[in-house]
Amino acid sequence: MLKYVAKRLLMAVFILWAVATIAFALTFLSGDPATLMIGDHWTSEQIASFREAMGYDRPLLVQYGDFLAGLPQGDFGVSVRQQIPVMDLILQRFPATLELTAAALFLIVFISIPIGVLSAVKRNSLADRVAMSGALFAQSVPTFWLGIMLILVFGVWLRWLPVSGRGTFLHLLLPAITLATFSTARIARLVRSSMLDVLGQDYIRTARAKGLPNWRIYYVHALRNALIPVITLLGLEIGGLLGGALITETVFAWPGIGRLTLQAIQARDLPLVQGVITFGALVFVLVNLVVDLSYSFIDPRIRHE
Amino acid sequence: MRNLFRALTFSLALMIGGCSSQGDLTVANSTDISTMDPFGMFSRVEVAFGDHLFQSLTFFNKDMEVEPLLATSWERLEGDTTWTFQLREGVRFHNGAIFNAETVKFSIESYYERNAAGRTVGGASVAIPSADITRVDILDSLRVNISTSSPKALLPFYLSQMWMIDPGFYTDASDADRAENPVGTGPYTVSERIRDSHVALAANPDYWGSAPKAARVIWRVIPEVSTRIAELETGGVHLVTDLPFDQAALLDDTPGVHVARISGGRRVMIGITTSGGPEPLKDKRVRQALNYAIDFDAISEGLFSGQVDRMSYMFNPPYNHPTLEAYNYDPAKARKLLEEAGYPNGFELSSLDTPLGKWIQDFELAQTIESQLADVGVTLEKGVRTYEWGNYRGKLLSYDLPGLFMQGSGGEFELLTEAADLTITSPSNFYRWENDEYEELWDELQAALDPDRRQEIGYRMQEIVHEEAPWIFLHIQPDVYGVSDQIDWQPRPDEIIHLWDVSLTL
Repeated sequence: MLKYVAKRLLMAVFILWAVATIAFALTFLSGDPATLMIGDHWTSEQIASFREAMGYDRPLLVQYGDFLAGLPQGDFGVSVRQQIPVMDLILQRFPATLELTAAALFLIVFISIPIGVLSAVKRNSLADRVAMSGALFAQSVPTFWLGIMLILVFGVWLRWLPVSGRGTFLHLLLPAITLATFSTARIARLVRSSMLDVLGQDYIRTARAKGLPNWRIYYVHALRNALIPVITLLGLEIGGLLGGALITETVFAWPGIGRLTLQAIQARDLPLVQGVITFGALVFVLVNLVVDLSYSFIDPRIRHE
Repeated sequence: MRNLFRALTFSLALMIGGCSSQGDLTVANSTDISTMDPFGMFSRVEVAFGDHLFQSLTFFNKDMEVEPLLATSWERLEGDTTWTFQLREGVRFHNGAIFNAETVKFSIESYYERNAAGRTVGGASVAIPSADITRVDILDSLRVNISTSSPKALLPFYLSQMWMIDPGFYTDASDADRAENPVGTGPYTVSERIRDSHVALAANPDYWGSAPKAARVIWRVIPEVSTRIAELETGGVHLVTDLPFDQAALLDDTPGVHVARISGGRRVMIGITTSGGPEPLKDKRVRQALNYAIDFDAISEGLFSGQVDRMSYMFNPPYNHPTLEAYNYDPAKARKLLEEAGYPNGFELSSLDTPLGKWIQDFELAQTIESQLADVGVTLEKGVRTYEWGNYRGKLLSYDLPGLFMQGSGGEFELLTEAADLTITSPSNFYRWENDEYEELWDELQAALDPDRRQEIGYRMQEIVHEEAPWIFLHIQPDVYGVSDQIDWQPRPDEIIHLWDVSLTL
């Protein structure tokens, strides 16, 4: 087990290095960083001295070396526009993203799993059809459109909920619902198909033969085995969500990592762009490691060697 | 059950506690205030925000005129390169420090030191090289002499762009301190800041002037325009910026809010490489022909719902030429001019280049122009080519877009900086256009003191540019705001929003 974790961590380091390198390369491919960051009426002298002050006049390899050397300490340099260390900016936004992710995850888990199980158990019933058509709809609706519709209905027409911003529990509702919708649908469908597989297995028949109550068969015996692919997908979703929900955060003016990413790109703030990309990758890799390790708790037959 | 009850009361407490107070005047922008460092605030939104915290010796008012602020009067001395400024008495910084001649010397010198070190000087990035201040001498605690390298008629204007900062705080402040803790003399201080969410300003109790009308002003950032509008409709915010035309039309019919439109300072045109590029474009008759080939009314109706103003001049008001007329749509004349220039059957250019999404409808605009030019025989081998803005800007600055290219020039509302863009030494002369008379006028303009003569020079420059046509004249991009009926606010043409004299009626 320990050996497995060590191996995975080593791999994570390699992945992070690769992502950071790509982030570094991409930002330089998008044009000369100095001309990107300056204003409309700067003189050539101003551009040249800016380039020198930012260190963009040094050989690319030297800049890359400096960039890599800072990585282990989480040092991505200082944001050009905001003049604050990149890592500080990321950590300031992370609680907002964490809050939104946690709320969305709560909705995803507590809505998708019961619906998925119900659909599988009552296969081809009206409830199943309604649930699965709903899921298809929820999966196809663009997040952007859904967010604006929720604002219109609950914010502007009914005036039940605040339109945007972060602050109270009520502010959290609309963005969490928007963010959760797609994943809830996706996972409900996966739970359903995974349950259907499991329900056809011999041990379920045995459980029935033993006279176990239905809820126990479905929720204890079947669901536990059906959950492995669900957890995998959930892990990917959480990893993605923690990297920042760009569209949802933008629509609801939610001050999280996604907005920071967008802002970094729009302001051509190269150190910040590199920082958020690498940070997103780190979170993704770690979450997936945790997910992989959790398999053996859910299904003791799985052993990491 | 008890837990459920507890959760409910907790949410209720949050709901009540989290509401912003009723009297807050709130403005919503699409972008955040990225720093509160006086030398780092750069965009129009940031500069406008900064004006609530920091003040300059002079003030550029809503009529685009310079008036006294921290300096009460000034005069120009013999020799024309030195000015004496009388400073306002009894002004204190937010931290209690006294504003005096030392402050002025420190502030101006800091700007120049930073600029020389290649670091950003924010909203003063044009004023610093233009003013070229060489020394600041303290005469007494409330009088300074400011000297420039050569006579600068516009020194009082340039000084309106340089904020006065407290030496006691800014001498040793770290970058993070500068970004987070602004210390100015303005009517407001910062009471709360959540990055990417809002900055709350509270009236400065020790302000030297009359107290601002709203006790608290909130600058929110809401990137999505539909959300900004929803907040405006529900009373969450009172002023929203950057409204697209189609959305503004919808807001016109909404009760409780109105739309404020103003012709802004951003002019959009198709730049033409006049030397070093394709041969036909070197001939001014060809460049005029390209202008006559444009059916602007069709463009305006088709792409902008008729809501943009045609650009006939090149300098923003009050320096705009009053009688110059925009090129009219006259394809026959265009063909005739092309024939005179030796291109009876037109000619082919490589492409028309444009960034994507930098200016309103830029790509659609370029496509329309491509087809209108084709009507008079000027065709594009590769059609409209689009670039990401970063790449495009790099290519502009290195003259790597030979031919026709989309270009927008920002509003300065100040003759000298705008006129500079077309001098041959300016990096913003993307057209590589050179004209002897224009250069002579430019030399004269830099030193000219008499406002009438300056205006005259400005007019003549615009006549030359109109005749020489280094670009295809298009339009002036308007600024559109959504405004709550609860406030009495008028837009300025330079995108600057000042809220200290705006009151909120509940």
